[in-house]
Amino acid sequence: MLPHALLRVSAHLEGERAVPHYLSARDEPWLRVLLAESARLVGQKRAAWHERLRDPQLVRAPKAKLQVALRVLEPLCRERPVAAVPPKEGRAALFRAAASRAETSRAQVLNSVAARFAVSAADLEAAIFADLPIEQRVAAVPERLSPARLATEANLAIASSLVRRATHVRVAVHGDARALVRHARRVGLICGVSRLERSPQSVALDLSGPLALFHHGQVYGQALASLIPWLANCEQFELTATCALSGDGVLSSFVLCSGDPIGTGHRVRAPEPLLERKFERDFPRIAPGWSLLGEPEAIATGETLLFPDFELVPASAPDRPWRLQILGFWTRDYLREKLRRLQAAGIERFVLCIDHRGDCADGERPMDPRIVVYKTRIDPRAVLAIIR
Amino acid sequence: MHLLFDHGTLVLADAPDLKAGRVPGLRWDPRVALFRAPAWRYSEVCAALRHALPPLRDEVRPKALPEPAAWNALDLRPYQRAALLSWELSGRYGTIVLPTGSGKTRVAIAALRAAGARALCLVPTRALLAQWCSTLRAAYRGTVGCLGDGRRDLEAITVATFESAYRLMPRIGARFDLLIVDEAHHFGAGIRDETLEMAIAPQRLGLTATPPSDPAASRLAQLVGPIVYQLEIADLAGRWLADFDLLTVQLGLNPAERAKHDEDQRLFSAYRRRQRDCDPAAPWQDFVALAARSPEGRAALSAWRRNRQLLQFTEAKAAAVGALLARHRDSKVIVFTADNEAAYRIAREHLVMPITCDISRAERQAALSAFSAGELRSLVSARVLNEGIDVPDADVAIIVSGTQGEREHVQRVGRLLRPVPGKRALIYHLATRATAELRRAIERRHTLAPARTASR
Repeated sequence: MLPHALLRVSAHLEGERAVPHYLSARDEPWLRVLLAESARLVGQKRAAWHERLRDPQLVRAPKAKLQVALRVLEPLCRERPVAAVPPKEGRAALFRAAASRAETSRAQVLNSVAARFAVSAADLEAAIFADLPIEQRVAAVPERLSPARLATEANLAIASSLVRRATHVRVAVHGDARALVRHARRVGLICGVSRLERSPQSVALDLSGPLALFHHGQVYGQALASLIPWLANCEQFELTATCALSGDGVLSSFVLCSGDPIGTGHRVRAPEPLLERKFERDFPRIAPGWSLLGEPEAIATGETLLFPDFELVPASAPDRPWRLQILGFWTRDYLREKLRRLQAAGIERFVLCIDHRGDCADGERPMDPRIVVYKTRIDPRAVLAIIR
Repeated sequence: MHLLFDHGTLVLADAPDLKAGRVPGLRWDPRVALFRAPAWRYSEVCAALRHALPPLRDEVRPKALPEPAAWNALDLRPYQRAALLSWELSGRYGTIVLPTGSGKTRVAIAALRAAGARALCLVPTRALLAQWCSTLRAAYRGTVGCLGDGRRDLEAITVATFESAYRLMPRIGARFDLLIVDEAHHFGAGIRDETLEMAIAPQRLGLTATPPSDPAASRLAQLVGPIVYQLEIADLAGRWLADFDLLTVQLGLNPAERAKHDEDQRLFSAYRRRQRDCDPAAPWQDFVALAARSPEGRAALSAWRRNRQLLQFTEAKAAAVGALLARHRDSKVIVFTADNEAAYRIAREHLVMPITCDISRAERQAALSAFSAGELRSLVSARVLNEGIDVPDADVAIIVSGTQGEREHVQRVGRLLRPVPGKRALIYHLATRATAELRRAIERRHTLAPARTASR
């Protein structure tokens, strides 16, 4: 995340709206110089890299944009130097020797400890802090990092940092919102889903954390920012984040749309969580007459949409599929409401899998035959017993 | 009506005719069509709904949590007993202010023992996490839980780093009845305050040597409790803390440093004066925010930063550190610097073990043990040794520079005050003549203990 001071100069306010200063094709010439200079500094200390690349005579760039680019670039091109002596052992030996021979000169202590390691005093001195950040060296710039790519990464850092300071996010999505909703649910956000009146093919997601009802805070910022890579899975989107940028409690809005230069053009596929992976592996083994589909279509329950995790389709009746949803945290009221909505929408072929630790209140769960309680894995036999 | 815990908040379900205004902290949450309150208002919510109809079913606490085991007997010093009593008389909701080295952890253990409740102890760093776990293991007969530094064991008595608690409180906030917050001054200013908001614990104990000032103090009083007992270093020095001499060593700048300093100071002062003429009462934060908006202001701020950097480790300070280390080569010395860079320079030049955030916890612990055993005679640190960690007994401190103001200074002095019969600690505070640094050093000297200070 970009620090507040840098973020403040990486966007300006137009009324209540925060407008980010994205890097564009016009910035590519100086980004090219930046990458070339970085390549020239390979092997030198990071401090030298910082000093050189911040030189305004060398890299003629807008100051704030340059700082953002450097923050993105730095972790990609650093490495530890090779040390003649394991640094930790070198420190332990050298500083203890110095303490035990207070009357001896620095050079004598260095020579005597270096001899013990069979290296020169200079090598020992170079080694003692070699594992620490101050001694890290500049590594070669990754090949994939073109000026355009660096600009995109910098823009993503700006957008993510703005959303990290959000208290509420609304995303209007045209196309497949399943992955986004599932991710939001996994990271513990309250996610209201409704159809957009102006475009029935689109849905609006309202995302915030429970505590956001009372005041603005950054406790959900990380969860909200983690949505951004998932936007790539939607055909079109418009994300509006309500953020506190000024530090005086005044809220601004930041809008991120499909087409903005943040590199969400590639569909992101996060690794399937372990629980889902296990179920995908286990279920077909015991239910050969069924096929298992991941991330099926959303289904409407009144005004809201419900996003199942799997569709279980019997070979004998492919038009009568069951849907299965996995819940992490839940409360008794939440389950009751969910079951009520399913019933009201006339959806009967639905299985809810709930974590045995997930009930925040540890209350009695509603008695419903379509509920399966899991611990570390979902029992495929319990699911099969319901859907049969 | 059912009261439930939901991700660090309380949710009131089945309350059709409730007027939310009657219940402190309760609000209608249209997102889920339920009433909701922040978890830290749990006891107020319960009290307000005690006689409500339909009757309240409190389902906030999870079942099947282990009861705390027994505690070993504990001896307290008179002031520690007084602090505990004050906390108990304040409804077990308050902050105790005691100087570094006076045994705040011991008071916390006494509070845990007295309350006999499931408790979560919050500590700022991983080093302190290890230290608290080890101290509690010696006093508590059950298993001590640990959240942080790669561990995630939840027990009736659990210690967590601030960072882990911040991430996990939505899940575990209903499991503890007592919250102990070590170095409580880290809270109150907004950063990570949600950690305390997301816990229901009706009993809370804050521990600090340096309480914050308003507005953080008011917020801290709300979330942890008001100050219920307070002693300063001067109250305990001589008997319960070692006596000490604080010497302010006035040093000069070399010609090049002086020229740079004076030029930057002129630039900054001219701008600062102009702003003061416009708004004499503007606090520093407002001044910085205003300065950041104009090129002239930004130049002034850059000049101020350069000067601060320059004064942190001048040529004269480097020489003074060398001279003082040589002078006290038979003593145990801790050198405090403003940043890691200066710490490593001293470490290299004088072959002194650095204790910084870059050094692993195991290696730091090994170094502190070696220092305790006399295998290392001196340590140099920027911030890691500032607060919390039990530093083995040392006789001499050299404060080269700092960045965290008076709080940091008090904490650093406290590091030296572990009482040993016949001990008189010696603290050198290096400050540069004819700079703002010297003025601040003199102010801090008077704040600490006027009777024990001198200037050289």
